[in-house]
Amino acid sequence: MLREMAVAAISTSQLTKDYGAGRGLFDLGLHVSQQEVFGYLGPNGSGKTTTIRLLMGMIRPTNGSAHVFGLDCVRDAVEVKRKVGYLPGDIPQFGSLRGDEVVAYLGGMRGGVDRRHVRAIAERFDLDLNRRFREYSSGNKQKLGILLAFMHRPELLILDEPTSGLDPLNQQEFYELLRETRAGGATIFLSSHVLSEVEHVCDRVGILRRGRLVKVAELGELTRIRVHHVEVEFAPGEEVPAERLRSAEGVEDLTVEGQRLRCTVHGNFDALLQAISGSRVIDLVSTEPSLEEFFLSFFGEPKPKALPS
Amino acid sequence: MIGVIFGLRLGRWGVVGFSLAGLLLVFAQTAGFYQVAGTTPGARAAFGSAMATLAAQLVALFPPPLRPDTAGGYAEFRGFHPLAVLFAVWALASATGFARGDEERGVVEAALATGTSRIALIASRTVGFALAVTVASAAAAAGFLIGVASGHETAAVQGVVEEAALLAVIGVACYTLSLFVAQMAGPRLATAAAGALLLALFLDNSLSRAMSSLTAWRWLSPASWASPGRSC
Repeated sequence: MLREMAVAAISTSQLTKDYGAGRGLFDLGLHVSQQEVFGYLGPNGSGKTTTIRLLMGMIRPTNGSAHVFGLDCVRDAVEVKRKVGYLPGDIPQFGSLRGDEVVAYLGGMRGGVDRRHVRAIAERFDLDLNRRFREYSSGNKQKLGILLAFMHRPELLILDEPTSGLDPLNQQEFYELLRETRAGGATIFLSSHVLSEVEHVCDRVGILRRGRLVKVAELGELTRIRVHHVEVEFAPGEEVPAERLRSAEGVEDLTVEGQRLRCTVHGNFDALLQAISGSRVIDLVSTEPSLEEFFLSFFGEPKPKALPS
Repeated sequence: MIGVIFGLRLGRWGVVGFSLAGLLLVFAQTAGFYQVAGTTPGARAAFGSAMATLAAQLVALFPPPLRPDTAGGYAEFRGFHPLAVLFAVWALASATGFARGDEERGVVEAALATGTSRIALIASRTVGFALAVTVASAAAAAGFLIGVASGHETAAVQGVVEEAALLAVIGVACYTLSLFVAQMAGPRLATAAAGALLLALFLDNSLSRAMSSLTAWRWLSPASWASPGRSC
């Protein structure tokens, strides 16, 4: 048992898939322990899906190796897939098949699928399995994809942008399902391009950029490095505490227009809330920047030039 | 087994459509024989001779009929031989649809993600098509038997079974070849490349009847394997 636990759920060494022109994945060295929830974060085109397809043995690496529970992802691809629940970024198009037919065929090919478990997941996400796939909304197609990934209670879940297309309620339900699955002993590897999503559920986060892993951060560290755009509106006649905010830790790029104040907050909100605590605030909006903006802030890169009009 | 059923489910309209086509085409030709060939031996011999003259003009495309003065020979020439070409087109569409269409729709990846090997998946889909083309061939055979019954005659069941088996073998051979080519060719070229190969093999067999230089290569064509000496 101890020996089994020592084997990493996922390990890669110098894993490379070169599509030419600087596109692909380069020298990826990754270690995901068993029963860990690992978030894989990166903007579109950064190599997340390529990594996942390499792990699933769907494509062959140009160089390097990848292992899942000690099994080689190329040589033992079939055995790897037996252990994995896979949600692809693009849900397969099953056309006129009904949801329950898709589950029956793919579940039958895999074997060991508990119908009660399938029904429970479908009910949980309010997914009608009697409808044809082509009649499903994009959210329902995503739910079916989630069901297919979870239906056989896999040891490892590899999920490519799992909440894309899900409404907020179903996203919360999905996060809950992830927590339960993890509590049941499974390892989860999920990709996303939304920072707050991986914060919800992950123990560690790998940040991928232009095909290279630039950082692996614990959740606490991620909270420290994250950024929010904040807009505060003070009550009419109320003095805007601009000076206090300028000196507050983590508050930057502060601008004031009348009673409205805008700034960027790095890390947590403690200093900002303390600075405005004596003032009457009538509105406070915090927005998460896109991952591209996060990278600009985190890696201190120059902003891309605007396209000529 | 479930992979075979999955393949059949995805191609169920092909099975229904080509079975109906086989049934109706062969029935129509067989029943039509009794309408146009006459009832006396002399009338049928004259009809057979006229058909042989017509067939001689099409020898580069279809093999000459063996006994066009009988319902069996006529149905083979006007029903089963064109049906073999139709089934080859079905095999081409079905194989490239699986190798490239299902691949692009992500269905192949979903099946592979269940822990099924690509070889097992290809084998199950080939078996699925073999079952489908067998059903369609059986429907064509049924069409012939119904047609013969409509003329108040009887047919040798063994000959009908052999003819249906030939159809099925040609279909499976075309499917296998198309699948092989589609796996090798890029997504855009898959159908064209497989179609070109099947056309080349068809012409290899049919033109060899008119061009003796091709006779040595005739064995390459699935049609000639199925029916040596008088292949379609």
